[in-house]
Amino acid sequence: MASRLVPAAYLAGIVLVVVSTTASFADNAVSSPSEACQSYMAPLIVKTHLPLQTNEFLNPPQAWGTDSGVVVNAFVGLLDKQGKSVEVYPVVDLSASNTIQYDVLGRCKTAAAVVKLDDATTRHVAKLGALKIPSIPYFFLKIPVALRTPNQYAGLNPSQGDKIQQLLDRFADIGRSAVKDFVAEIHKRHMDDTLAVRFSGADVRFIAVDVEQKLINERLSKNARIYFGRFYARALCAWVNGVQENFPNVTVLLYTTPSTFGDYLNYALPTENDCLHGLPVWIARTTSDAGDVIRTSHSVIDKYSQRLCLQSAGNRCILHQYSHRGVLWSSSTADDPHLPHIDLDRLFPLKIVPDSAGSQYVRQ
Amino acid sequence: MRYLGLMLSGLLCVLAIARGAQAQNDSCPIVEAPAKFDFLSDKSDAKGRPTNIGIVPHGFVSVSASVVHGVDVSKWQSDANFIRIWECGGRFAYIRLSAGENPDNELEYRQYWANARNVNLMVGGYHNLVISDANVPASSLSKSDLDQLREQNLASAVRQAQLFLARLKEVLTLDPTQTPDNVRGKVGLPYLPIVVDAMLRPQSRGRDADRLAIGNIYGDVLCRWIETVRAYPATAEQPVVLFTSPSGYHDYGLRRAPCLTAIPIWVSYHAMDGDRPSFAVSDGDVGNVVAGELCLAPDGTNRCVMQQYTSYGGFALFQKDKGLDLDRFFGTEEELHSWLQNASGGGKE
Repeated sequence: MASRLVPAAYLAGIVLVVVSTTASFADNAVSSPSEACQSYMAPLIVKTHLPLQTNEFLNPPQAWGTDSGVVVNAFVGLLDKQGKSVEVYPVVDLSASNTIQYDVLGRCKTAAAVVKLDDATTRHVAKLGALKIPSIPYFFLKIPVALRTPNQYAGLNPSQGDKIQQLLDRFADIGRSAVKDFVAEIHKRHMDDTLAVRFSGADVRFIAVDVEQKLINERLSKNARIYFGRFYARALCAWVNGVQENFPNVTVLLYTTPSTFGDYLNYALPTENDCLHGLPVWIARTTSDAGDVIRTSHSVIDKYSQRLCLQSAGNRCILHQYSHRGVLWSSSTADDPHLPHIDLDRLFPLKIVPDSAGSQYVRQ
Repeated sequence: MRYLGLMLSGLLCVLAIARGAQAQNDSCPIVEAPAKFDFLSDKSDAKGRPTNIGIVPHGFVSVSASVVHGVDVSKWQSDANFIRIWECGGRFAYIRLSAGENPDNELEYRQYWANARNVNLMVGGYHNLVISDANVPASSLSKSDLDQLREQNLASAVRQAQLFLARLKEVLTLDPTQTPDNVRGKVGLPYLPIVVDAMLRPQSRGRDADRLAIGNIYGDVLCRWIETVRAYPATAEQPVVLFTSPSGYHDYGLRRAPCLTAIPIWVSYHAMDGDRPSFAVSDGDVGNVVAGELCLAPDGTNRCVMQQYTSYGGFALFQKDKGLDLDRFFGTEEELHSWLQNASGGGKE
């Protein structure tokens, strides 16, 4: 691996440095965040309809398909409660469904891109690499539809140990099988060396896993959600463990929604949950004003975000997907679902905190 | 002059309290009991399980003495907002780690613990003791039937304690290490003393004699649970706090259980004016006598070190119309801090 190590003295304390054959996060990050095309700072002043006044942004309540969040034509930085700028790095996530003007991503100093393993991966990675934007691969962990119907889990209880174990084993098989698929995808695309990140001297890689499959008719039974969550966690752990065997020093980044965690993974018992503890989280949660994910409204999503992110060692939601409606190559004033748009994310500097079970990746 | 001084100091005290309340959070001001509050209660539960009852304050409620505010949470308070608890002046959270033997009874504990730690609350774990009740009036049971029920419950008490200890170990394992608060050789971070919750009311529809009959077993089972916890190497000889109500302690004759006569009490006492229990017998209030029976230790000291005073702490919830139990520790934050415990490493549950 012809890695290039770039020191990152610009970050105080624990540093975040990218090692890559094709691109370096540090090349972008050497620029201060203020130079990184962050024209706006959240919380934004948001309206739900046109026309907009100066300094106002559009966030129409009607989603564009399944896409929501602020319609904005640049990355959005973050202010803390005291109005001070928070150190964050602009990130996008891409799949085959995105129409991209790569040069704009380069011009906006995109720090990294999380790229779905699909038909467009090779093109995305190559184009981004040419712009020195490092890619983080992400894999969608699929659970078959037949295993997502609630009735089969609604009546389960601890006395049905054999049946529960059979289901746990079946989900573990799904996770292990998905590892083979993932490894094959990575090898096929020659992405083994796509990205490595060094945290405080330890070389590790980021690989993201997309965990957001819910029960069909999920409101039918809480008991079904509890047990499916347990099984889903087992599949996920089998995947995480398998990937770490294949890619030593890999750091799995858990992409999930607050409700997937709150309604499902939250209920995993220690035996199913042990691999998930401490994993950094990439949280999918569009916010009304493009602000941060931890909020204290009366929303159940805010509750689940608190449960998911706030760990004993700190906030583990180190990557936040705050809008699906980034129109970096357009005007931000149009309410047009047909505008090419991408997901906008912000990455927080992180630290690794040891605990008796291993370590936790949390925001600095 | 002396009275002027007292008046001035009283005025300053009132101002200090008012300023303190404002400093905490304008949206959830701390008020001092006794005071007038709205009062709510849910329908009683046919199985004798505790239900929500109490004042509906807009913030934590203090009394004339020093208190530290806090909450206790289980799956029934799944809307607890730990950030808001802290912002409103809460400084501790007791978290139900287990209830009975069934691990599925409580599954929210891991995230509650993490959330509470994250916002710097002092954290402790409690177990909700479940007693297997008789299907018939307990006073009608033969001695052999009572013995069988006792043995069944004593064996369960050990299993319940083992489940609690496993979960305590789990959450402590997830605490960060290498922080200034970690103690060398101990697991996780310091935690508040272990609590056993004796709020279940078996034979609740029966007569006094039935409750006293099952009460003999209840006391023994509580003691077996406490013995098991205190025999576990990681928590050996640590204090265990009993969470109960004056009426529960009285109705089940728990004063007869030797292990309970001198341990600290966390009293469930939901007064309409938000105040703490009174033991003044001169006014002939039976409630005061019962509270005194629970709270007054053999040496005459007040062993009711904490109080749960309402189930309606809606101001610190994500959904304000749901329940949240509010508590207070009688003492200063430093005194509560000095009560923190540490778990030794190793040991099989």
